Amino acid sequence: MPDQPLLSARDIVVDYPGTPPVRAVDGVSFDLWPGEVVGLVGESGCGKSTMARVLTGLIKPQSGQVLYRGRPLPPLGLRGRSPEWTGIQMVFQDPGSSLNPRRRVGDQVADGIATARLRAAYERRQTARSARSLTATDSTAAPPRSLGPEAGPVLDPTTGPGAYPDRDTVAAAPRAAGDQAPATPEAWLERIGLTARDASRFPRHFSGGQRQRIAAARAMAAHPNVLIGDEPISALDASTQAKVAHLMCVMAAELGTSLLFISHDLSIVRLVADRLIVMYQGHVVERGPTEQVWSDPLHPYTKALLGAIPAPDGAGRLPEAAPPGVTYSLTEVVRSD
Amino acid sequence: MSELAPSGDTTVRIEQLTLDIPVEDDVNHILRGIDLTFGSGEIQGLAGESGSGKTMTGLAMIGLEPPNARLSGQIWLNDLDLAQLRGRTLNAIRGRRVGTVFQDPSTSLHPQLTVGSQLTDHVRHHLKVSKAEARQRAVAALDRVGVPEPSRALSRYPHEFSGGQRQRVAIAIALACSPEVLIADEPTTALDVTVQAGVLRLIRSLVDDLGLAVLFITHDLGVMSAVADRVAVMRQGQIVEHGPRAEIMTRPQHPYTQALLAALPGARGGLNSRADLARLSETTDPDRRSGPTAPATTTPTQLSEPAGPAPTDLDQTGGGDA
Amino acid sequence: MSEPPSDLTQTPPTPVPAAADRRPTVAPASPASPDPVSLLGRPRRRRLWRAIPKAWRTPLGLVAGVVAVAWLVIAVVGPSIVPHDPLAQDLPRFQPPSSTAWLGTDELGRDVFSRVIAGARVTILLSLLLVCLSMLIGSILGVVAGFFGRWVDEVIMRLTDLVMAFPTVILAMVTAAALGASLLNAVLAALVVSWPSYARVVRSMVLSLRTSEFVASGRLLGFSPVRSMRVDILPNVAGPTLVMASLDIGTAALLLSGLSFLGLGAKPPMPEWGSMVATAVQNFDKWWLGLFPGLAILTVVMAFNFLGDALRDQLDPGATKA
Repeated sequence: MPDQPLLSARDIVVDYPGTPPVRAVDGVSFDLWPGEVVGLVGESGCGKSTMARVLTGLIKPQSGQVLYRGRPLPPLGLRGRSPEWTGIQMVFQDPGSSLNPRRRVGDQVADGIATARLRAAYERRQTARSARSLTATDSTAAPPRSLGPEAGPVLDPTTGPGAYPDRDTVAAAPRAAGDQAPATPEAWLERIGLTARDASRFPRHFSGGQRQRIAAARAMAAHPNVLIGDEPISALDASTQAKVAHLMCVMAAELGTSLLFISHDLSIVRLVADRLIVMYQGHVVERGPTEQVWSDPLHPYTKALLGAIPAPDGAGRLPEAAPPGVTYSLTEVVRSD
Repeated sequence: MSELAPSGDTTVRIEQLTLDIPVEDDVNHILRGIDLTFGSGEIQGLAGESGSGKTMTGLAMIGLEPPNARLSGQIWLNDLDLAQLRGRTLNAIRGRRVGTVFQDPSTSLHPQLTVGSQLTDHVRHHLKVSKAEARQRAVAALDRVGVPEPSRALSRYPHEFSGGQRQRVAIAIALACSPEVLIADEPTTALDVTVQAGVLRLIRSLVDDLGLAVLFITHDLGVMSAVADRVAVMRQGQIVEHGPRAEIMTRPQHPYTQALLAALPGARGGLNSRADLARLSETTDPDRRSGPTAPATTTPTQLSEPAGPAPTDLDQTGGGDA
Repeated sequence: MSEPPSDLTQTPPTPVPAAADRRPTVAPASPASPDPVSLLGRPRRRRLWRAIPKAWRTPLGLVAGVVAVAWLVIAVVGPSIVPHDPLAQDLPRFQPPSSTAWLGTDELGRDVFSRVIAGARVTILLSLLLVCLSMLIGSILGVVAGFFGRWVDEVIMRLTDLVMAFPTVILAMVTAAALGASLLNAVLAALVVSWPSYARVVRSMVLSLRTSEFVASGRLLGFSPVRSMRVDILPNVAGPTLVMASLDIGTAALLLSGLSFLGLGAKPPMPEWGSMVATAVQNFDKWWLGLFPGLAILTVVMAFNFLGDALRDQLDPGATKA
């Protein structure tokens, strides 16, 4: 069913308690399609991190729904999450707390691998069960989709400014991609540029960039269908930022994982994302293909956001400053193609 | 706003500044011979990644290096060597002739005092003026940095301002005693990009109008390119390259500067497409440590790693900014 | 712990290659900065010193460690090495310290030295027991409160409020008096007053860990609550709780001695420091009666306090980063 988004947010509203309650997210809807990289950008307080937590079920929205493969995602309560939902993984912002300081990193990556195995077994059981029920009812409908990115629209690699190399081949041969994925913690660590010996070391022995790589490896080891990065590179040095972002995108492409990349910093996101969604004060104000939003922003806020990025060209041009106290329209501009 | 303008021309000359911090039975060489000169009406940029020592250079200028640090070299403010000053004499310079703006205004301002009392206390401590005069200066300073309704703002608390306004208040405090030198340590890093633009414009106008000498410390080369007149690039306690902004940003000579720019989105020869990203990740070895036994802090072993062919490995140092 | 091995084993660093550029600001290795190589040729004694965990390499930590270990050894082997039977009344009464009775004799002609040594077992072992029990009970209740929240949390926390609303010693006295004077009842009474602090600290740690990013990551990977608790939360709670417990051993010894001093703990013939001090108070001119058990209490309390401090320094995440 290629017409079904992998993950979709429907009219999400989130209030934070207070007097009066603060509305962090106000009626946000968007879809994430299989295999795509979407950049969710906006400044502090726009609700983008709240959306990340809603999309993973860590926060229960006041109203609205998160649909994962067409089914409503249950919020993460006291009970453990069923393998059905472990296809959604997240990488957090703070390299200091994204890993458990008291466990060896190899063990933490192994958790991701175990999750992938559990879900594969779960989905095999589900497939077998529904196949049985299908034969019983003598239906000719296709069996449910199994783990993997084979369904869904294959992105045309010519749309982006040079799509990730592996994406089309992966989409063509998803099984092979699954086989190529590292199967041991050591292999995962080597995949992200560390050594097998690093598996027995603790998070404190690694730099911020390395910890974020390890956190990404743990999430990817679970073979997620959706990976949400909540400002995963914001706390890193500039040179490391680009590398970690690229690594996350390449790994996502290799496994056919959809990536929702949340950031306040457009300069790197625009290089990795196929689509951009711009949020402002709890609302989506603009969305569209990255190149279009970047080169031809329609919403005044998007224009201000892009105009404020200082250009590192040595010309000494000061970026455009928004007039003090300015507020922008909360209505989304619709891009007519 | 002539009353906020400093008198006369000022030159800051840092000569062979070294700073060592003993740890255990070892020594961390935080600064390893810094030479830097800048003067009135000029923004001297100091760029570098975390752990490069750029923040410590700024702190050493106002005598705020860690108490166990060993400092040598000279920091000349005209003909006064700040590195030799202690106690009261240093206090008389700090805040009076050298103002400072830090990264996070929510921690650099006292949360339980009004903006007005923080400003006037500061002015009265240094300038020994009457209450009314201090208040007048405070209003002028707030007005100069673009805080709306400055006389009403005096009675408000820091938390009543937005992040950008708070940083403007911090700049107003730094300006209130008409300092000759302003040390701005990552003044826009904690701000949103649209707010950052306004603060950058403010700092630029202060330099142009009042003739301040500014040491602008930042990790963000984009910001550097927007405001700085001259740029010094620091790495592991040394200035590896120093020159006019346009030279550094467009024709970097040192492999480290080249590597920094290659990893910078939007720079010439930097990251402008996915292909650039892929190339960066291929040509650069991922941040691999020298060996599994290497400690996480900056030790001499790591410091003196060969710089090697460009681009060099940039993600070596772990911990926070020194 | 997995302290990285000392960097003595590393290869000597090579000097930074000076950058050849037209703005050569990389100073050649200045004579002021010590050559890292010279740091490697330290005497062998250093290696022994390094074998001691970092946090213990302070004079206080070392002395406290030695004293605490000495008392623990005495507590275990004490009764078999005493020169006299601590209960035997075969010496002259009120004898000042001499070669036969090193620390003198008490009002019944018992050897004070033997009683102090024998008392170590009572006080130290019971203090350890008390601390272990209150840590166990407090931690379990704290974990339950923090994890389940809602009404469970409410009930447990109000219970701790109730206990903590009374002055510690008074509540312990009331409990001990109600249970009847015996050493075991004194431990029970002390237990009643000492578990709530553990419950509170553990609860707050569990609460903050539950919302931390790595715990959320684990939950997203499908960790069951039990696994999340066992793998992600408890190991991170254990360190600080153990530190708290080690700091508490001294307090526990003091509380138990205090109860015995008030006649609510050890019964007469039993050698116990608190009750020994109590009899000394009635014979104030015989200074040796009170001084030595008092010194014993003082050294135990201080040693375990410093030991707890050193343990905290070692387990502190900031300290273990290096």
